[in-house]
Amino acid sequence: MFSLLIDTSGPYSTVAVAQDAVVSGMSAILGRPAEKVHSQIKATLRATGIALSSLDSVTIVTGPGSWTGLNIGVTAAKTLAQVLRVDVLPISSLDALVAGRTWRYSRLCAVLSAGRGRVYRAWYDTDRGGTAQSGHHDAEVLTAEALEAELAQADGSALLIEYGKTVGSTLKYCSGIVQVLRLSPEAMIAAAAHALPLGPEEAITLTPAYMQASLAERDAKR
Amino acid sequence: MVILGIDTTCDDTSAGIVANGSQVLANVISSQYAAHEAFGGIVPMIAAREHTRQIGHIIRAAMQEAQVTFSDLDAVAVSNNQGLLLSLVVGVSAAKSIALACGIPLVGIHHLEGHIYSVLMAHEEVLRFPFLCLTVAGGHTLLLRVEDHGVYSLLGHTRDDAAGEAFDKVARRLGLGYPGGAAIEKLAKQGNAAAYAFPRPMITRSNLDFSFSGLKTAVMNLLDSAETFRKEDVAASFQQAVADVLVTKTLRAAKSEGLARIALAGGVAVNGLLRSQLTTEAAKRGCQVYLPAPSLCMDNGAMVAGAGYYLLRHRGADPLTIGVRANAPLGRLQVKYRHPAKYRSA
Repeated sequence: MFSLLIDTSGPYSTVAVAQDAVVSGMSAILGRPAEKVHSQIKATLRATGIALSSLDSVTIVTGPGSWTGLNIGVTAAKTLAQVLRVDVLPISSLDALVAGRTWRYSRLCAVLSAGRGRVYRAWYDTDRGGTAQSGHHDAEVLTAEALEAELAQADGSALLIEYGKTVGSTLKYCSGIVQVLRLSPEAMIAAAAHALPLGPEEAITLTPAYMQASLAERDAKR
Repeated sequence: MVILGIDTTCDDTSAGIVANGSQVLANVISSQYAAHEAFGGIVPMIAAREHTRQIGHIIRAAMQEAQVTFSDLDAVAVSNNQGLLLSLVVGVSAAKSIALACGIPLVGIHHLEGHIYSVLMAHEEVLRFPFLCLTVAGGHTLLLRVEDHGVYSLLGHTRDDAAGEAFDKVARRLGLGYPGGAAIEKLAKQGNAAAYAFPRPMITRSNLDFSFSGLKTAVMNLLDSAETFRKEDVAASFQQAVADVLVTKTLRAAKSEGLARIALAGGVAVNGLLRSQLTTEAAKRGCQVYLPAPSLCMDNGAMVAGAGYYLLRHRGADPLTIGVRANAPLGRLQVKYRHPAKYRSA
């Protein structure tokens, strides 16, 4: 089983190819996904000697994250699936932040910047082996103050995992911080293990998990 | 040669399929009007979101209408220059994915080239280079000398509002909704075009520039100050003023450039008064006017596919690394005139 993995939700565009859940090759480039992500896909496949026609699925990080990056990545994934007639596995950026590794904390708080001093946040519990358990069903957009209040309530039992630089360094009640600059293919594979596959026709309807409205819509509500 | 063309320049998601540069097999357009209506204008973030939502459906609908599959495509063309950046990236991402997955050439098109080629698509046998092209749309009003495939000279442009923009703003003020061009034209048919003496901005100036902001303001001032007015007369008088300016300047450009072939392109090219007045006045001066099919006047994927056919043959394919630019040079633009940065040559 060959899978293409794409993440354009953060500062890096990450592309990887996996065979039977083992990473065969990967590429990460900072910025400009509109220009680079397709040539990254081509180069990564070429480097691993895997043909596009051999792919069985495309795993795509649907968000939350960069509005433009998500539009580019999700459009790329679902159009590739539409042409190649393969499944799409949509995964959350927050899930992928905590997936695929073990943690020494009982609670994990995954965050990434939502702009204007706000963050996308999701809480996860870990099992005895230190693996993140809960999904991102409680993911929300929070202010830095609200996040700090939640961390204070956790009373030192939680680890903050930041995707890129968010507000972690400014928080008083934070017992531990891990900063992740780009999602690892292994984490994406681990998150994809719980994803609901979409067939190529169903994937046409896939949209990014923006998690917040556009600025104009937010302004109109005020 | 079968080419898929994708246009997500502004607020319409469109895919068209064209055979051999002129045979339109499909041209599917999805308007986002409802998504932007409440905001009184186009919101770039919403436009990008709607493009992402619609793009797969529109491509599938175009393929079904044309009765082709991805394996039938010989190339994919996409508007990657001139438009809303957030919107352009969606169409470009889809086009690159198709080019990559199908192993076919990718052709990046300047959006305005799409409009220019919409005329060539309809008159490929008779419209010879060089010719004059008046491109009138919601975001652009410019006069170009088209020297050859992808080679243009800018002769004049609007210094403020585009003609289509003025139509939209006047229509909104008259409560006619969006897009305004068709609504004003429909209302104007019952009006008196001589009822109001609206200004014809820059009509007597010797240069080939346009200005529609003052005309729009004159209409607004009338609507604000007049105790009574007939909307039909306002629409007819405004439309006549726009047509007079566009026709006069275009014929002046044809004379100064020594060109007898005139192409009319862009969304406003669907306007009946402009089409007939330009054709009639040009004929009096020994000029021939070439018009695009009305279905190819608005932003659409078929014109992009048509442009892609010609530019692929004359310029070659583009790499997967092509970017997007909100304001971009138009082909090999030969500078003949002081012009704004957005059309400046690379």
